[in-house]
Amino acid sequence: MTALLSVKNLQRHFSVEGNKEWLSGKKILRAVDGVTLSVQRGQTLGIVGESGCGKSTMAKLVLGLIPATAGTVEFDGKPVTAQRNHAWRAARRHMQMVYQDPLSALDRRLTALEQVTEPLQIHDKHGEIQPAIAAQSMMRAVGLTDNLFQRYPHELSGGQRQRVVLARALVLKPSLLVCDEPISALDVSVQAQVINLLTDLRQQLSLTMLFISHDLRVVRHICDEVAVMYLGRIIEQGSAKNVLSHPAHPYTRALISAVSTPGAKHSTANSARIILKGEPPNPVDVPTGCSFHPRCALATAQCKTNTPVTTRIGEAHTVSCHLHTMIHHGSGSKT
Amino acid sequence: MNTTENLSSMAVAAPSLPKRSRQYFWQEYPPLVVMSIAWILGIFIVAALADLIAPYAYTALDLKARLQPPVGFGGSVRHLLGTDELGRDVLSRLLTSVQVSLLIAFASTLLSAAIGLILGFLAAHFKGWIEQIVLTLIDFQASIPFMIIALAVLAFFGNTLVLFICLMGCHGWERSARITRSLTIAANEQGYANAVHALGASSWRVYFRHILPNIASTLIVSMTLTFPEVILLESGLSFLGLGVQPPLTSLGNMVGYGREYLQTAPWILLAPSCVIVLTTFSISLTGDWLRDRLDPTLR
Amino acid sequence: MTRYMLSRSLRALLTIFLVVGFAFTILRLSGDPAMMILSADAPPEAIAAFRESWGLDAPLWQQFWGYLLNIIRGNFGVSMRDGSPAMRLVLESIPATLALALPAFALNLLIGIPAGIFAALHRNSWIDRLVMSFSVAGHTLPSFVLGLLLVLIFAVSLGWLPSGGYRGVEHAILPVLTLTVGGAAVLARYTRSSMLEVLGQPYIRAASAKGLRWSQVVIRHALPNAALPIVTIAGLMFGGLIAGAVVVESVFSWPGVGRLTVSAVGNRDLAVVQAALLLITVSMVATNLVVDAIYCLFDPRLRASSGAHH
Repeated sequence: MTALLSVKNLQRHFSVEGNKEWLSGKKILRAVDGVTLSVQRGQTLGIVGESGCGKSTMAKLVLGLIPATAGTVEFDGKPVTAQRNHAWRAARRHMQMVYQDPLSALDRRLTALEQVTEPLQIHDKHGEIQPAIAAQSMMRAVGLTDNLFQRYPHELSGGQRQRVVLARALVLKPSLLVCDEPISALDVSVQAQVINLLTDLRQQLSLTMLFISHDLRVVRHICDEVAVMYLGRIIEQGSAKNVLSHPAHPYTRALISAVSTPGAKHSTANSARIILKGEPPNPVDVPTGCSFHPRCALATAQCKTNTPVTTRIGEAHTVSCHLHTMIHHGSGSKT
Repeated sequence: MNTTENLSSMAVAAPSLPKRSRQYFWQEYPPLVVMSIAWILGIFIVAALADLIAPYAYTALDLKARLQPPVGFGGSVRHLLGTDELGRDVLSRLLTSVQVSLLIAFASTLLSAAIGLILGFLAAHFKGWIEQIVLTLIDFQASIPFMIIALAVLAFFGNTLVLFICLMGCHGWERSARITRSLTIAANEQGYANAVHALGASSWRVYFRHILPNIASTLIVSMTLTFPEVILLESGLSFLGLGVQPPLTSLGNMVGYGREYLQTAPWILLAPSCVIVLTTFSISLTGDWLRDRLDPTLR
Repeated sequence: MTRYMLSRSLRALLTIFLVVGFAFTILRLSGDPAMMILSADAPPEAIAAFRESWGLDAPLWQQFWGYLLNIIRGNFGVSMRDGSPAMRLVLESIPATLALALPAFALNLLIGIPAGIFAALHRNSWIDRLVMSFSVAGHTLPSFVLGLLLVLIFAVSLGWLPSGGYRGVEHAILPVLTLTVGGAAVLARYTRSSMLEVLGQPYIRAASAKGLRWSQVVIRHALPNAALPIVTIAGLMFGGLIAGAVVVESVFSWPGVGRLTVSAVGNRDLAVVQAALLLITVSMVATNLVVDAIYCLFDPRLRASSGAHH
């Protein structure tokens, strides 16, 4: 079964000029630095990591909103380009995005209903689908009551706005939904509602989702597979169960230790909180070798010089870490 | 709109006044602003109906009644504001002048806003060297006083009404262009423009259905700044004899021709002067008030 | 800082270059330059010689180059009126304009800035409202109306001052006054808003919380910080003075650059118009550059970070 979304060696570099007036020392910001992943139909892949690791850039690359510096993105077997031509716009029917800040993603001058109707006006000008009816039914499906239809974005609560964004994204029944931190800006009490809504809709509409977040608890709840990003690279990837219950990479372990809930059923080798030393990384100054080595308590000499290769350590579990390469090649047993 | 209203009434009165109270009304709409708006509306109506309400044709000569003072200063009610050196009725000429001056100001303001809008959009959309060119033009326009440029163009190209309107339309576009460009960039960075693009909308749709309505209020306020400036510019040039040419008459024109009779028949230039002053004052005041209401961050 | 000044200087040169290009373009667009500058009934040999010296038969870019060279040499052709070199006529009229502009500029500063500061310090009081009303009035009052009003009152009705001409100091009073009003109004307004912005800053409250007297707070903290934008505006007002001079000189028959330009435009004396246009542009650009330099010198933010733009 071919994957719905397939990304190979994707790279996206930004050149950052050191000095605005005179071009002295152009530096390169490697936002995404060689990412390979794929998402099967109906599955939800979560991408987790700290801010600055390149997650949001991944979202834009996958949808073709910004061009890649290298590598390929394929959707449904066809390559995705960032050229804003007619084909690109037509492809929007099948892939949509939900944003971190719903207020800025909505036009403050349009009512909620108008916003949800717009995709229908763009793509379905000949009115095969009755725009008003389709929009209203979608809005009801995301849990918006009729009295909210004529309200403006600033008259809605955060959760309601995100539902509007969701309805707008789903009204054309796309196959792929990319969620870029969809609940980070919402109140905690509302977050759960929106997540539950997403899981319901996912089933109803047979959605394939790319879920980007820094919140591991949510990812644990909603994702089938998880990929952990650090400085533009995927350092661990696998089924959500495997990665989150048996994290292999030191970074993943640290992330998970920070959200450990008491009495949870997973077992980790070290349940105590792991605190990473050092500063969060600067994507312009990527360390040599394994990019995580300055903050890793288990770093060896090799970690400073050689980039780790991706090692398969389980059926649905890969990691990029010298420790595991050695272990795996050494004893051949899981940790 | 609701938010700004709520904010301003919160800031103004701690115990909130009932909305229908007269006090609230005068606080929201200061008397000076109300008078200004009334004057503006009046002037526009007069300009529109000038041909109908003028007692005489503005070119009608009456050499037997030359240099008559206005009624109340020794004149008759036949010529409410007196007559000029050729016996033409000052009131009628005034009405037509208002029409011409307002027409020029209106057309020029729209033209200037349109130029600024298009160039601002182009700069924000294409970036790169196109943006650099537009920015350089904006800089250029902002650093030379427009009067000088206008004089040069008038010297070389002479003076027809259409040309004059186009020339006046080149005043102030850099303000609209700056506003359009920065607001468009902000809109694009903010998200809703990007989000609508991501829905599959064409650039046209994004600009004209989304961005433009959102920046319209700011642009309109900027236009209330340009409008009186064009009136001042046009009347200045007409006063110098370089603007509107006879037989057409404009407010500045009247003042220019009335200058010779400053000592003997001052009413010839006082009437149009008053109209110029009151009109520009009203529009400036209203524009300031609008700006404060709509967007206090604008300066 | 030098980088900043360098880029500003380049910008200034670019502006001058654009104006030269502009002048050249409209000159070529509006007809045959030879006919226009020399006048229609010049003898054919003069026209031919002119065409040759200005290279009017050469390709366009070459013409532009020739035009540029001529301009640098100061050769703008001769005035239609009396045949004297255009640039000389313009230069001769500068002192008269300066005689109006400089006092007006000084008065602008002396009246506008204190008024603005005063209004800011007494915000929303009747003083503030008075100053702001005058400011708006001065801004919207056209200079020719004001000039004529002043003549009507002081020259015609009261007979205290002459209504025009260029013979003595009393002739300059009304024109200078007319020029001052507009500029002072604008300056008062900008000064007020600059002061208000500074006064609203937290460090002002901190300074008065330290126990300083209010006057000390204003003089030591508020004024220096508000000064910079005021200086910038004051410098840029020079352009406004030039534009104002054009009208005011005509109202009062004052033989300055403004009146020369206006009559040249009326007579379509293109040589003089070009010369005046370029001279005014250069002086404006130079003033802007000086303002930039002052700004750069006094804004510690610009001095500290090299090459950073505000």
